[in-house]
Parts: sequence; structure tokens; C-alpha cells
Amino acid sequence: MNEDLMTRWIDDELSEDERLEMEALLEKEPELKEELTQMREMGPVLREVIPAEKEPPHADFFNTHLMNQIRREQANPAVKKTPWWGRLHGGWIPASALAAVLAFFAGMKLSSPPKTSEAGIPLVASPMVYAVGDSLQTEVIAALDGSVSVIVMDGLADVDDALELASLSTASYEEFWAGK
Amino acid sequence: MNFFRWFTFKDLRAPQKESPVGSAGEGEPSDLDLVAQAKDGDTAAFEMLVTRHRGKVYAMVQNMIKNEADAWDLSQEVFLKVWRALPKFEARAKFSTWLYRITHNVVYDWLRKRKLESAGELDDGLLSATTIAAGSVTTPSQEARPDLALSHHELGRRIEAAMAQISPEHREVITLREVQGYDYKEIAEAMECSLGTVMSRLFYARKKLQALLTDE
Repeated sequence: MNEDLMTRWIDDELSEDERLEMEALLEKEPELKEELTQMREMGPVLREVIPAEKEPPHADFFNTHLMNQIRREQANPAVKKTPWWGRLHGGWIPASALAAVLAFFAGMKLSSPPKTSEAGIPLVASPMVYAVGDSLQTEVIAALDGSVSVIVMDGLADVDDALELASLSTASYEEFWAGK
Repeated sequence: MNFFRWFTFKDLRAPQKESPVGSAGEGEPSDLDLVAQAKDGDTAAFEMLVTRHRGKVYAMVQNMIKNEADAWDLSQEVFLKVWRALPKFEARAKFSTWLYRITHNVVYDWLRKRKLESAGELDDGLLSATTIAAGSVTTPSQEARPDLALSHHELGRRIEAAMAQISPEHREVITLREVQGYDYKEIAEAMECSLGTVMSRLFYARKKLQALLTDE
């Protein structure tokens, strides 16, 4: 007996002729009839237990967040589909890598022990951070004692709201940075 | 006596003969009207579509991936993709079927990324670890006592546990047919497979689910 026929019998979708033929066959196979009857009875129970509809949590925010994304895409259609890591491919990779290296180097210099004057007053060096392109602005914020230094970079492309950081596993990150 | 006869509902809902998805209320614009307006850039019309369908999309996604936070994000992604693809929608299929096809693709892309699913259609006849012969008996070996009737909560827990054990394809086809009330053709369109695959998948999904529920 094929699955098509059994499925349509369970769903009561057989033609009258098919149904009569099927019933005759099932009379000869009571165990199969019992099994298919159980499958048929499962439907209403599943409908009772599994919701066909369930509002997402914070449904108003669901709409607001979505419509904001759509409005942003409408306003700036050129960047709508490219995730940030996609924009790193090609020519951006050397530039981004260079910026990262320079920023890292500047951070290392800042985090080294501060020089002091002859009187023992800490001297904060004026750090120089090289950035690629005119659109990238950098600012160095350093504690006087040299214990903390922060490099703020403005002008980088926004991270797409559709980006799901949580969905990127550690392995994905490693593969990304390894250039795979 | 089988698992489902242990539990009797006083008021079980009747099977839904009409697809409940996308039905507009009286006096409200139809899905296709809203789609036409949204295609012309009417974001308010699109938001009305979102409000009308978000509960069904979210329920389907959550049922597939069993994670509330990810289901929220994926539902967002579904509607974003719907918005982007609206110009391509030609109303040959119902909007709800087209919407569900996009939902299906988003969920399966997510599953692939999670390496929980491999590409390609599942051959239901070749389910290795979960194969159950078409003629095998899944009836409980013991007669159940009337006083073993299950509480609604317990029934829900057992069904949820069983649904979590079947494959995503089986979970999806069961939900589309039994819960959402789609017909076979709509399921084939939504899952992008043949009618024969739908029939086979539905049969084995029911069989597997039945076996899991009666094995406990």
C-alpha cells in the first residue's frame, strides 16, 4: 500500500471509489487500520496543543524595528543588502587591515609605561594615529597615569541591523579572520 | 487504546478546511490589495500585512527552531526579505503561501548555518536512524487504563518533546498540514518539493511522531 493513498485516507481526501477500495484493503489488515486511525486522530490533538498563531514578544516594537529598517533601506538603497563583513572583501581588506594595525600600534605605544619628567611628573605623549582616507576620524583618550587608553574611530560604516552577531559561532569568527 | 484516546477533549477544534493564513476581516483590505499598495511604496499597507501575518510567521519559526529570541530575529528577517521581494510577487500563488516559502528559506538558511541541516531534499524512505517500515506497528502494546487520561499540560509537554525529536522537514510538514491547515499543493509550494514528496514526508512524519508518543 503506498504512502500517497494512506496519507489521503488519513486526511479524508480520497475519492469515493478510492475510499471504498481502501476500506476493503484495511479490513484485511486490522493492525494497519488501527495505526492509520491513530494517525488520523492525532490531527485534532496537535491542533489543540500547537498554536497556529503566536504574537512575537513586544509586537509593537517588532513592527517599529522592522519598519525602521525598511525606511533606512529606502533612504539608502545602495548599502541595504551588504553585511559589514561583505564590505570588507576586495579592496577594503588591505585598507581595513592597515587601519587596524596602525590603531593597534598606537594603542600599544600608549599602553607602555609613561615617561616622567625629572621632577617625577608623568608625561603623556601626543599619540599619532594614522587613518586611511579622509572620512575616518580618530581620537585618542588617555588617562594621565597611562593605565588606560582608548582610540575612538568615527566614520566607519554602520553595522547593519540585520547582522546577527549571536548567530556567528566562534569557529565562524576564526574562519573569517583566517580569510577562509 | 492509543495515546490520543487517553486524552479526550470536550471541545476539539474542527480541522480547518480553509487556510487560516492571510484572511482579511470583514471590511478590511485583502492581502492582495495590501500587496499592490505596498508595491507602490505604501509602507503603511505593508505594515498592515506584517501585523496580519506576524503571529503565524513567528509561531511557525518558533516551532521549527525552538528558540524565542532567534525566532523573533528570523521573523524580522522574513518580513524584510518579503519587502525586498515584493516587486517579484506576481500573485500566482496566495500571498500566505509565498510568505511561507520565504519563511521556509530563512529558517533553512539559519539551520544550515548552524550545521543542523544539510542541503538538499530529505529522502524520507532513507531515514537511517529513524526509519520505520511502512507496515510496522506503532500501536501501544498495553491497554491504557481510563484513569491514565493525560492533563492538557502533560499532553502538550509530550507532544512538544516528540516534535523536537523529529527532523525539521517532518516537523514542518506536520505543522503546515495539521496546524496551519495548508493543502498538499500549498505545502509543496511552500517547501519547494513535489506533491509525492509531501505525501511521503507527511506519512513518515506522522508515523514517527506516533511512534515517539506511544513509546513512552
